Amino acid sequence: MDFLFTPEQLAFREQVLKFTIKELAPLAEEMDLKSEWSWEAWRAMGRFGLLGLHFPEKYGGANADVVTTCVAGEALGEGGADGGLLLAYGAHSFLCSDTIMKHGAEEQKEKYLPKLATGEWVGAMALTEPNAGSDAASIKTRAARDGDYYLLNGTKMFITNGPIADVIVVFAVTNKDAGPMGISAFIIEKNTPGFQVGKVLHKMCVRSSQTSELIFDNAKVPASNLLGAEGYGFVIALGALEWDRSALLAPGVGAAKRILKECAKHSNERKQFGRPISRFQAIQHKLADIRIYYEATRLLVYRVAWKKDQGQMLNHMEASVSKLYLGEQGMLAASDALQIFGGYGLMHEYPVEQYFRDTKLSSIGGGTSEIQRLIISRTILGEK
Amino acid sequence: MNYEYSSEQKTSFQAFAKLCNEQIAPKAKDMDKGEYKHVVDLLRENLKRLADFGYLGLRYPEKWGGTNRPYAEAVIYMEELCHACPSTFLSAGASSGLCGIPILTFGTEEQKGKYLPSLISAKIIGSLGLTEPACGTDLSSIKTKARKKDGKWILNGTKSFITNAPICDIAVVLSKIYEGEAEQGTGLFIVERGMTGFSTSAPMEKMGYHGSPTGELIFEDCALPLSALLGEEGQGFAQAMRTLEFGRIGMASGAVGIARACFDEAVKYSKEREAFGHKICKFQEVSFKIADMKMLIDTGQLLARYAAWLMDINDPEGDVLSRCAKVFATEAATKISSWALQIHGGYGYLSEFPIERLYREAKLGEIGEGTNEIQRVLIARDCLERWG
Repeated sequence: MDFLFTPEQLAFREQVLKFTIKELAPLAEEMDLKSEWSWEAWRAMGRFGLLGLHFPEKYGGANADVVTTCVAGEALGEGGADGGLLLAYGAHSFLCSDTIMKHGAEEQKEKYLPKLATGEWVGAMALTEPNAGSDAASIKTRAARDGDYYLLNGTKMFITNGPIADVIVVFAVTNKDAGPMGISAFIIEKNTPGFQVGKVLHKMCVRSSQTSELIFDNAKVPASNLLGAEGYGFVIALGALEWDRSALLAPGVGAAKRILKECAKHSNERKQFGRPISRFQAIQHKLADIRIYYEATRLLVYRVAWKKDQGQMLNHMEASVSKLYLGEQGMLAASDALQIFGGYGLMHEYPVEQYFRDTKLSSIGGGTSEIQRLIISRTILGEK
Repeated sequence: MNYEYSSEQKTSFQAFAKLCNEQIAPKAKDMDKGEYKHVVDLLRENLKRLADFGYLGLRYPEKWGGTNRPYAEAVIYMEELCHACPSTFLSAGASSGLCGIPILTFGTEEQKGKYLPSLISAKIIGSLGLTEPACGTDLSSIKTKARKKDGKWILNGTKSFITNAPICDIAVVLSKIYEGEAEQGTGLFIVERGMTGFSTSAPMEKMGYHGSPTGELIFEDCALPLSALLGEEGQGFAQAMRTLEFGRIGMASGAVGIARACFDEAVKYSKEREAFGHKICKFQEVSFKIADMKMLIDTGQLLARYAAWLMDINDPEGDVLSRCAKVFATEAATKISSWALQIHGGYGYLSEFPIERLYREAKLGEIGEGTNEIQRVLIARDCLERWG
């Protein structure tokens, strides 16, 4: 039992933190205010090597383990990179690229990974549909074999990076009588005939990330773009979601630390009744609770990361515990932080306003808190 | 980084869990409800078994009969014991922890040799006297006074809420030191039962932890040899604070143990009880509470283990993390005990089910070893110093 990071991990953390403060943080406020995607920020992340960090070197990555990947994510959050940018990074790196890396044929990997690693191509993953969210196995998008092609029909919803993605991992039903085992995964390129990006969606949080519907109308996908085998899609999706509950959460850990620091600073600077508000126990109580939240999320996220690195069997329960804690307690911490800032907390130029909105995503995206509770309780109670 | 214990450690944890389940847990109900004399007999028997296993000496060098295990390992044993019987956990902790640790940390070789082997083998029972009737959190305002007179320390005052007081053989006591009317700081003193002017009260009646006697230590011109001073004259307060660092880790781990016990009871009951034609664990109002319990237990465990590990490597952040762990785990335990009782419905209110006792025991965690209010003040102070 030890919680040590290697000297390399610590040095890398410092590099990512510096990079974030210098190149990403200055763009954050405007990205969020205008709900605007920043290619400048994206390309900078690509140049730094963050977008393919955990890929093998032959595909342009740095072969980083999961803990190191989380170290980078935490530093991105702590340094103040925009929440929308970090979500885009997560969807690109872990939901799309990693899925191709884990389940793709060698040809598919060689074709897609190097360009995804540099960020020249943007990746996305499309599972959710207008009428299938938590109940992911009930998706209706169909894929029918037609010679050397599959024809896809259906609509995907809330797809992060949808409007800007070059490569999308899409889940569709190939055998409607087989339930979850009838779902398959496909790699779809943006110029595929019959595929179009639907309405771009405006949202309350992570606003700079681009979200949309994806529409498949007899979209003609080469059969060679099937990922893994037919019927293997649901297993692939579950693997991707496990990332959702570890590395994708690491930026949130860093963001919590940033907000904690901001709160400490603000409460020492802000004076009321003739003294800094940090002298009031009501403020101290909130600071303490935010600190506990930060320390706890960090331990939970790295536990999942470390276990992934040990090559242990997927432990859905521990991943869900970590996701549930961040999602539920995160909102409380964000609310405390905003309260410390009072009226200023509601204003966009102060950092907690965006943090408060962005944090709400973690109790919904990547499996709602309710789904996490379902997974945890089923595991404990031994039910199906 | 390594989130797991070695296989040797796990083997030993399992052996200890077996001891707890087979020999200690079955007595927990009796220790809660039994006659005082019987309860004390059971407690002594349990302490003996713990000594035989090596539990009481986990944190002590071999020289004194201990096994010198790191804190990050000790927390697992503490959690397991409290899972089985909170009363035994509390009394064991007050004796070999709160009383023994300051002797180990600040004592002379002579003092260590005299007391530690006996504490570790449960030949004697120890206690620590800090709190007084009129001061708990505000420890610097204690009224107990020690004066030097004719080559002796003369101690006067009363310590209250002292775990093990009615049965203790020795006590480590915090007192102010006076020369004439001038206060000269504070000191820790080792007091032995039988010393003139030292007595203990009858056990206090309390809400929970009935198996662990609590009472007052009373000093009326109690005469102590000069050698009874523990550590440095004037440093008593600082020494007491350092002792509490370890106490907090214990309180956090104990709380996780109680939380786990409540969780176990809730899971078991919810799989047995039927309503509307289903086991009640089929209802999300029940099963999601169980999920939330699991979330809080895992998180509390990680915080306690992390804080303990920081202490093992002498990282100064161990102090604040032990506070975070204590606050989190003790509040998790009270929430979980309340949810678990709720899942039992009316049966939860009956003494027949262990949850009624656990619910009463969980609450102590938020108060003992420094209330959660003072912990938050000090956690906030750390944040303000670091980042303000």
